Amino acid sequence: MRAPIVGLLLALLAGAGTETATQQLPVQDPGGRGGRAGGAPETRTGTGIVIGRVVEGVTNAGVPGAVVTIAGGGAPQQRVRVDPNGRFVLRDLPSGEFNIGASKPGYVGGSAGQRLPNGPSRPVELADGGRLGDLTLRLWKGGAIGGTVLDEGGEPVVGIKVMLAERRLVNGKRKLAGGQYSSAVTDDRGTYRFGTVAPGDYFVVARTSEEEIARGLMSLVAGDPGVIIPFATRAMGGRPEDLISLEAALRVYPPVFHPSALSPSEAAPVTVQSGEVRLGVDIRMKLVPIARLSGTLAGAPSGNQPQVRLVLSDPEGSEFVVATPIGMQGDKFDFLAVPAGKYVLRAYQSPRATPPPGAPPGLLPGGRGRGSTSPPPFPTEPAYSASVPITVNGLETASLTVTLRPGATISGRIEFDGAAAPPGSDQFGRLLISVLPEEPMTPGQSMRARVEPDGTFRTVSLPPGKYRLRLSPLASWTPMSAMSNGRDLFDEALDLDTADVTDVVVTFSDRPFASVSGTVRNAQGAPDPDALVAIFPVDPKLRTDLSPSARRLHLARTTKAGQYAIPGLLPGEYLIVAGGDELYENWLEASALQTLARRATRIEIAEGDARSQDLRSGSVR
Amino acid sequence: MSTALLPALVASVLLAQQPRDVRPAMKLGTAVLSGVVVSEETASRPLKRVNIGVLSMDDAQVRLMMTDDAGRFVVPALPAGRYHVTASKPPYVDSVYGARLPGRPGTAIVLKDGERRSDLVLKLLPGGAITGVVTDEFGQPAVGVRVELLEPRRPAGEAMITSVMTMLSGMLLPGQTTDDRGVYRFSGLPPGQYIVAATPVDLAGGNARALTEEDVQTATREATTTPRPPSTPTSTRAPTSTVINQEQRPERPMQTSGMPFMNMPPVPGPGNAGPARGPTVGYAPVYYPGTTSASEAAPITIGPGDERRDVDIVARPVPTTRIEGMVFGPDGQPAPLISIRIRAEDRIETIATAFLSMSMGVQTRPDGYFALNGIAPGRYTIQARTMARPALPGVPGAPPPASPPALWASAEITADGQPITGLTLTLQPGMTISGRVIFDGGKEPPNGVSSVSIAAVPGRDAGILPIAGGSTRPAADGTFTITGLIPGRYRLNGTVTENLVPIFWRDVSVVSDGRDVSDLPFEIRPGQSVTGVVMTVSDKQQELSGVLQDASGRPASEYTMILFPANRAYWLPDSRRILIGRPGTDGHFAFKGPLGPPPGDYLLAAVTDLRPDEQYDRAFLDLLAKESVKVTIGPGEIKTQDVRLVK
Repeated sequence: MRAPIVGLLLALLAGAGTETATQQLPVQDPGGRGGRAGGAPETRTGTGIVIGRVVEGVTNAGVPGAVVTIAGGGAPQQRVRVDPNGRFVLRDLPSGEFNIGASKPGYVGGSAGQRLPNGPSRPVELADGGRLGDLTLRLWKGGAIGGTVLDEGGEPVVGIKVMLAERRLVNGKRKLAGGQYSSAVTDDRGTYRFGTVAPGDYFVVARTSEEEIARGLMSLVAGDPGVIIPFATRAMGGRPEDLISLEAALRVYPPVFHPSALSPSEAAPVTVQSGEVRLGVDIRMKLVPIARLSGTLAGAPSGNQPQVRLVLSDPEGSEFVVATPIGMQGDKFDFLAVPAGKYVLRAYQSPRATPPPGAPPGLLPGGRGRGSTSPPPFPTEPAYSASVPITVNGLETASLTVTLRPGATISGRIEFDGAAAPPGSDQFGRLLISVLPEEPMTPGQSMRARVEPDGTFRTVSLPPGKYRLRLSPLASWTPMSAMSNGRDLFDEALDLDTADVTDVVVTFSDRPFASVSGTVRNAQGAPDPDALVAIFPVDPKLRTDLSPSARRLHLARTTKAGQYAIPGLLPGEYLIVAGGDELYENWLEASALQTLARRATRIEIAEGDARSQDLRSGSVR
Repeated sequence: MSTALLPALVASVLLAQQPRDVRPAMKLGTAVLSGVVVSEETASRPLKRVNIGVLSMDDAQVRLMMTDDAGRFVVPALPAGRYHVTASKPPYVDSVYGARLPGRPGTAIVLKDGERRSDLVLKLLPGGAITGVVTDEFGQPAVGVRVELLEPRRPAGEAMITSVMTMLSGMLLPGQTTDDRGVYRFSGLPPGQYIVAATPVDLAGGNARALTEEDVQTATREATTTPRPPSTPTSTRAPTSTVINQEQRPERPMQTSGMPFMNMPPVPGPGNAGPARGPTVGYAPVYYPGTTSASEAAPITIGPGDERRDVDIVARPVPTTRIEGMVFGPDGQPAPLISIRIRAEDRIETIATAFLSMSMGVQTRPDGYFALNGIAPGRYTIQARTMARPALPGVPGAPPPASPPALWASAEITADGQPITGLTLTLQPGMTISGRVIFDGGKEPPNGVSSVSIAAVPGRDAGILPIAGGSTRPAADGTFTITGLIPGRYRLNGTVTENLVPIFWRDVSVVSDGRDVSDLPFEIRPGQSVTGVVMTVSDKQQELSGVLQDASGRPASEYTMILFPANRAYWLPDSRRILIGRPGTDGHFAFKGPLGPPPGDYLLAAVTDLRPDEQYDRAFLDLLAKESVKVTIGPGEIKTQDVRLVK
């Protein structure tokens, strides 16, 4: 009896405060191609042996209890529990390139080649019958963040939800990133603790959750089951939220960031080094009135349409979601418990495909239903969205009308400029087009695009915002530019409003890219096998795209002989610099590039160059 | 809608001019409830910011509010009716007005129009706390270990353990995970006895090869004495460095508390874990103070506000077993894609271990082969079963969808660290229950016969995640067959649903060979199917109500009423014929509604207190029977029975 009712109550009240922002990655429309046939790859065995030791990255002490796993290279997966000294042996290995890693709860890192907890890993190569006797796998003790949540009277707040949100590089800027946050609940002393925290910058935020409000209801369940039956019965027959009224005396804690900020921009980020324990990260809360925010969506077509997604989010552009509605019925929405504060209400209705003539309502060809083998139909109808600032004072029930506006598409054509014959139109389906938004998306936002056999392409209808385009290579052809109105959308984001952009010309070339290679030596003049080499444009305007897929910024690791090679360079003036693993974590940050630029070497790359450039490694901090 | 909730939103969006309210207005009245919440301790004090819930027993409307700095609360504008009032403020134990102890039923407050009831006092008991450290065999903190809090109980006189659900990260979970120091802490606990169980994280899914010193020495000798090619292949290629794709950075493990079973080991399966070379080890659930047997666990007694700090547990790896076998169909051919489940027979199943068992399930390969890795020592039942397509949810009104006959096989094994190979499971058809549905007085439900759903409910011994059971809907002529049942004890229940929501129809009786199989469990043995079942369904509801009075004839509300069958055969756990209720402040009690009593002979008693599930304890009911009032309730009867306490 108890569990289903509790589940019902949770389902009822768990709408807001969902901090899992399931984002759809920028996706492409592969036209139903691609995707390997299933089936486990065949495995091989051999006579190779790898012997090594798992150590703590700072103290070099063995880590007993760690488990070492080897995968890839066609070898059967092996798992070995290390001995009390951290030693391990992997046997029966064929030749190949393997991913070897160690893990233990409470530790981070562990991949072969990692020299920093967030550093890059390096696969292990083994010849036929090869022996590797000295592989060191480093694990770093995770950090911890802890503190106490206090009310305005300095008393501990018990049972409040605390979330840990990473302040991460997002296109060159450090900001509160979306996604799933770790969460904890303060204990009976008002304390919380996040353990095994990877090095980085974090925001710590506490807030009342709707589940806490529901605790009073749940206590009913503990007593007479007959008490809850009328409630449960009514709820099952209708909209459970209709049964609940929030009285004026109810107060909640709004999201408060350490130490007492109401927004990420005013918050103090907490930096954690490897193994560092940061205690005293306290949060001072203040109760605020609560509002029930209900309303109607207008402007979008009704009927058989995709569900409109709604979130109340941070007004400063981070992806921190404060609340989601607990109930949506048709064009009606209802946020049950919104703390007083400033928000942005974002609404999004994904586009849908145009139904074929004569098709029954709601029936579309293909799709992702069970048993469907064809790809989902490409959405051709407009997406609808809204983004409106809202100030909630609390103590009220408000009714809003939120008007959604149709989105716009980006379209154009592809051209081929080269010596070889262009690829046939039958290959266009393999082309992957990525649409990369520069601003926070509403969860579930569609970013699809597709290429037609005649070489034209178009995206789905997109909400207003800034977008970048990315296209995959096609056979030996590489996309060189995406011009629209005199601007290259590969280098500059497109500011899309409600008007379609139709003039994009993507030019592919088969001319060889330039490359740069050389040897990196350390301060003693010896080849440096553990260096990283970064190359980026001299012109700051060409490095505005600091996303992981930036096409003018490259990073490479040296070989054991200290040699590096970076292919795929566009012509232009570049800065090139070598450093240690610390480069890996932060280099895609505007300020970090400025620092790197001061000790970088300036080189000019012409089309098709095979440039040689030796470098000296050193600190890049 | 409460008058206190006045529209005053300041928003830079369009405010609707038209009435938009999608909710029915909250009923308003003229009665007022107010009171104070205090702590129940020697130095009692008012408690501020306590969440108060007021639930109307008449229309199920709920009002939520909070106490002020003086612990006071006021609920205005209530219509006349019956209300339950709850108070909640961690780490105090949740309370319902009128409940004698935490977890006991509360007393409904009966309000008349215009009545002002201002004397409510709700007392919150300080919760207890249990905390400790889980370490591994090396004395290091065991991080991310799932620790469950269990409660030993004796419903119906049988010893059993139930998981205590605790609110964590917005979810009710059966436990929590240790932090980076190996520390766990349960707080807000009602007084009682508890058992602590730890299920350590096993990153290798119990399938890691245990390394010995000899292994290392042998490998080192081989590596140093046997001439071999260098480990890095020579190449004539130009030196190419690794170009790092920033989008494929290594995973950054982060703290993951708050998600249930987030730290469960990777699922070992035939496709993702090859046989390990040499003996394998893994972790088994450990009960405080350090036993793998729940019966040897040491209960921890907690009083109001008590804190137990030393409940430490050491997790040690145990040798694990790999089980390999084949599943064959009834035709002797290898059976692909058969679901294999394993369940410990000598270990009390908790929610964590049940999910652990579930995560260890696999499917047979196309050639019928299966392998289960990381099985801790103990006795187990391995069960193979085809995934029978359930007849529910079918579309009410439509004929039940055809489903292939479900097949099953099972075997008992003992795991002792040694590999088990060559296990053969031969599938056989599942058993069936068949019969027909008839309607009391010939009156059919609004959506006809197919809106009846019939379920074979496994007995309690089926475990937390029962793998047996089945359901169906009858055909147009009322006949039904539930297929694919595995051997075990069942009860057969019928309900009527409308748009998948149960409505006020249910089975009056289910009879097989003259025996009641709705309230009394029956056994299905291998190869024995049950036929000729007659299920009678009715929309009649019975009701028993009355007023409980003390010896002087005044309404008595400080008691719990128990209605239980006169026939001892029905004194079974979770029996629908054993009902409890609490009189309101006017002494009125009622057993009614869809879960009211089925027709029959009953005994009615009043007790000052009732422990959870104590109403199913046969010894307790035996005692109570001597002090009870006999009541006979006929089909559809609305009966009144006042009760006066004589002592």
